[in-house]
Amino acid sequence: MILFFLLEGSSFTLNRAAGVEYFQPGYAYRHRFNPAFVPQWGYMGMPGIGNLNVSMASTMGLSDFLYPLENGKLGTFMHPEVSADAFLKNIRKKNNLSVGFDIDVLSAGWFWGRAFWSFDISAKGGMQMSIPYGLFEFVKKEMTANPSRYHIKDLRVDALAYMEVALGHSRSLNEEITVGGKLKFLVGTQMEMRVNRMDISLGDEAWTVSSDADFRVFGRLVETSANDAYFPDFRIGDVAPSGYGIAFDLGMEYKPLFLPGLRFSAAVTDLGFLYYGKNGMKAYKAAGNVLFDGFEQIGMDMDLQEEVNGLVEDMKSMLAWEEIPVLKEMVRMVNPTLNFGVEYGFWGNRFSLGLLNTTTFYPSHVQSELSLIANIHPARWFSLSFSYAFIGHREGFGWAFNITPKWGLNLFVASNYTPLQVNPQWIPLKRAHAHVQVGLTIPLGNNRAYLYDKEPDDVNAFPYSFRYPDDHKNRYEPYGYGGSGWNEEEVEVEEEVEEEEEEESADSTEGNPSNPQ
Amino acid sequence: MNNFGNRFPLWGIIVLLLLTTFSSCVKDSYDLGKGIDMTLQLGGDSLYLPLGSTETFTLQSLLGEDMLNGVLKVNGQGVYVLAPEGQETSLAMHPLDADDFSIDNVAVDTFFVLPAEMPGQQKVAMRCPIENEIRLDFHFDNIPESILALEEFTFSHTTLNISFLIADGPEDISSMKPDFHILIPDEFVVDAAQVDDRNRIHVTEFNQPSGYVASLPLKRIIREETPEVADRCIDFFSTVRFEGYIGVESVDMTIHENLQVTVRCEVDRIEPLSISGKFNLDVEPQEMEFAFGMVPEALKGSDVVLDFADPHIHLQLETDVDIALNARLDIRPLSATGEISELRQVLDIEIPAVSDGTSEKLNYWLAGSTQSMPEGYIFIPTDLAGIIRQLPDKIGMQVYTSVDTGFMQTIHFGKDYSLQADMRPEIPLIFGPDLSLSFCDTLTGLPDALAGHLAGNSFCIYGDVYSKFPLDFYMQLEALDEKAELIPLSVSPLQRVAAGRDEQEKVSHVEFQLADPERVLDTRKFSALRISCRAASDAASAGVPVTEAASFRAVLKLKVSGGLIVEAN
Repeated sequence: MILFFLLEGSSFTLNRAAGVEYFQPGYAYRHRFNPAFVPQWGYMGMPGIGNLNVSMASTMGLSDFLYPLENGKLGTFMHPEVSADAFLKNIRKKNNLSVGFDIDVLSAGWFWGRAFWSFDISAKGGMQMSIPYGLFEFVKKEMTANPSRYHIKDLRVDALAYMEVALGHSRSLNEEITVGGKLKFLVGTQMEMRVNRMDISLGDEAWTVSSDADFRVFGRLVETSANDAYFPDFRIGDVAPSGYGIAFDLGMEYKPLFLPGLRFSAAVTDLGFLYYGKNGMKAYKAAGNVLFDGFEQIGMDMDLQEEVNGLVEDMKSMLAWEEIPVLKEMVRMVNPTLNFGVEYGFWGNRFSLGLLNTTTFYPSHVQSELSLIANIHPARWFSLSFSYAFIGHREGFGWAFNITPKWGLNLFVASNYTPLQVNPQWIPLKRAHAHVQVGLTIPLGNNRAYLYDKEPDDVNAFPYSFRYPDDHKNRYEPYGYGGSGWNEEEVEVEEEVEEEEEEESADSTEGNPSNPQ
Repeated sequence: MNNFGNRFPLWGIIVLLLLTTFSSCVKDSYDLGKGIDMTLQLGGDSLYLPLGSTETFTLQSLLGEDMLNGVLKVNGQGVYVLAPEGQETSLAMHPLDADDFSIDNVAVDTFFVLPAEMPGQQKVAMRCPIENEIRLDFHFDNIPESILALEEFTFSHTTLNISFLIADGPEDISSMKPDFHILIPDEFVVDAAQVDDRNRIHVTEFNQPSGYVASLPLKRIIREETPEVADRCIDFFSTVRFEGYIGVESVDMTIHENLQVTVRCEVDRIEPLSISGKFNLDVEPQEMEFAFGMVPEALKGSDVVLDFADPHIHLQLETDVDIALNARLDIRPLSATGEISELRQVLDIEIPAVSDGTSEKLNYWLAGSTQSMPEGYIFIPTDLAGIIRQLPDKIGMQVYTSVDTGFMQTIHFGKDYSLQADMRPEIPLIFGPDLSLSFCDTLTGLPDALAGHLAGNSFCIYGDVYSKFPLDFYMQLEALDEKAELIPLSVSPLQRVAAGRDEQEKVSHVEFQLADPERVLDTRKFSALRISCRAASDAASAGVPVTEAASFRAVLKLKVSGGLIVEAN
């Protein structure tokens, strides 16, 4: 089941880790990775698809569970040709699986005064699972000795879904440092299951299973049913949000003057919590022992099916969740993420190379990776990035492109992970990662990079200059820019820029008269 | 700038992205289109499973109540016995009637003379000697053929009449003083009060005006010489003798002429009450059968050697027959194909005569030994164990009853006799050292996981067997295919479950292993498991009865080397 879940299940990681789009200047939602970042434009997200993220990440892949056999077919890891060593060498001490989604319901960002402001209403959800090595070892090896004993612990499943209302702000403190912050209000619900301990002993004297597990639902169960005697019966729709909380994003960007084009950034996002009151939680506990030391009274009149049914009932009873009182309120961390980046732009900032470390703290595990990202900005309206994650739980290429014509919608498409090895059905062989991100926004205002190419001495909150890449100063000017406070000179400059832009567009669409650009 | 943009048209870039994306290494060896072999190995290298403990099997639980209500029973000592339904038979005898004989009355007259003068004596005191005899000839014919010899007759109303009459004697017979003896032959038994101890009548005076008359009830006639019956006839004679004197004492009385004396002997109303002799009565043979219909099949196999240690038949006769009889028991095992003649046994039983008018019960013990014979039984050595060494379908028995002809016996005419026989075989499950009892059972419906996917692997059922059975069991497991034919797997040798005792449970470790190193099961399906078992006894366990307490139970475990190979498709 785990195999199919990994291969076929569509699940989502709650906190989409920063990736290839981190250094994309045209990506309107960069401020989500670091609130100090500002986009090229002000924007308004298309409701529902302004920024759509689905992702899956796992430390395991197809080749961990399917193996080529001598007969030319594929066999599962349980096939007798697959040795335990061959299977288990790919299994880590903790094997994680995280899936999630992030959907913008309503979002906008704009430059106002000396700052960039953003506002988001988004829905986020996801699940993480942490499967210990011992469980796989048990499933594969089962009995290699008499008796064979397994002590499995820390099997965890967490799920969280919440609505987020965020207000962000970014401003330059000086010519070198930009800081930003975001305040988020959260309303959510959560589920967590912990198999604290599962002791299994298999031998010819007896088979014993002893387990201790907790299950909590942080949400008001609108409807419950007692149809199932073993597991609390409720549907997702029955769980109403009961957690409220806040979270902060804090970030900064440092652009040293001594080496124009070099940029350092650091941020922590989703640093916050959800608070659940006692009345908004349900807690269950399942603990028990099952002992099977053989059938009793084996004889001519024995009803084997009845005996087996009894054994199955015993096994089920081990999973019988008994509701226990919730004695106190609980506070759950929202999965915080640390992002550290360094980027150097050269060749007039048409190219840049960046190094990004992102670390997310899940309830069940910490996920960290290091990526090398190359960015290409061949035109003002277009940028392209490639990444390669070489340290961390996912290894592979990512890509992103951003298109922002002068008039029209801003389209952003990215995939943080393109696996290096796939099967003919394009299923990753090594580590099953999938990520798709699509963004569609309406640009507001002018392209900040383009604008300030015209005034290289003016304040430029945007780091790139295509016109004067070598001597752009990134100079701080507290009164220099603002969404509505442009002076007449700026407007004149803008008109000239627009004319040039139109020329470029005409060049780029030569031979394709139907293209409006 | 414009040129740069022209060199990278939008669609070209998108294609480049796609190429980048899909240029990852595609490994055909992981092509799901080739199908996934869902063969699973469950249980790891060796699957160990505690199968559990069996119920405590007794003979009753193994065979079922029906069997116990049939031939197999539990006797008073709690020992299992094979006890075919007993049979009773009754024999009515009516040997002879008096009418079977044709005996005529016997009467013989004779005369002699009393002389008028006696030389040397005076006529007034004369003593005339008497010395005479009468021969009585008896002739019996139409004697029943069943009578071989006759030695004695007993009568009820028969009289021996003797008369001694003087014709033309003196008017006063009292002047004649008889002094003679009538000698009754020894064969004749009369009332002892009427004869002296020498079976004589001493006549000292006449009781009739003309002489002397005697009528003696004749009780018996005993004839010890030549009692044999020849040609259904018997002829014999007896002589009545007269010896003595007759005196004349009156001086006035003068006998002028010789006197004629008439002597008569008569046996009248010869009505025999009983006879003694040797008889060969015609008694119809009696047939009896004991069926072993509902016995465990295991006891009936052709290769079975049932060395029963103490089989026996309890025969009770209730008789009022006052003659000694002989009974010949012809015991024959019967199978479906007929009589097993080589195992036939013939037994002779003597049935003593009981006192006239009484009834007695006689108990016989037909067995090989007296080891379990109760008191009061008559032991009849019988090799019953030999007859049932292989259990027949039935035991047939013919009973030939005859009168003992070794000595003279008495038969009362018109009397009815009855002889009732109650015969109950009882074969305790006590075995000798030669027991060899093989049986097998087949387990079908094996789980596919166990039965169908052992190619190249092996499994072993092992554990401890706790036995109170006083028999050794040698067991083996074998694999059968769908046609119930043996699959040549490698199997462990016979496993011995050692004999225990009621009071002492014996623990034996057993291991039944089936292995398929040659992968025979790739081509043949393992469909059933045959459990072969041979029960045997040795010197130590021989003679110990199988009782209600005899039982065994097992605590079994399963080991499947290589785990279970399951097709999950």
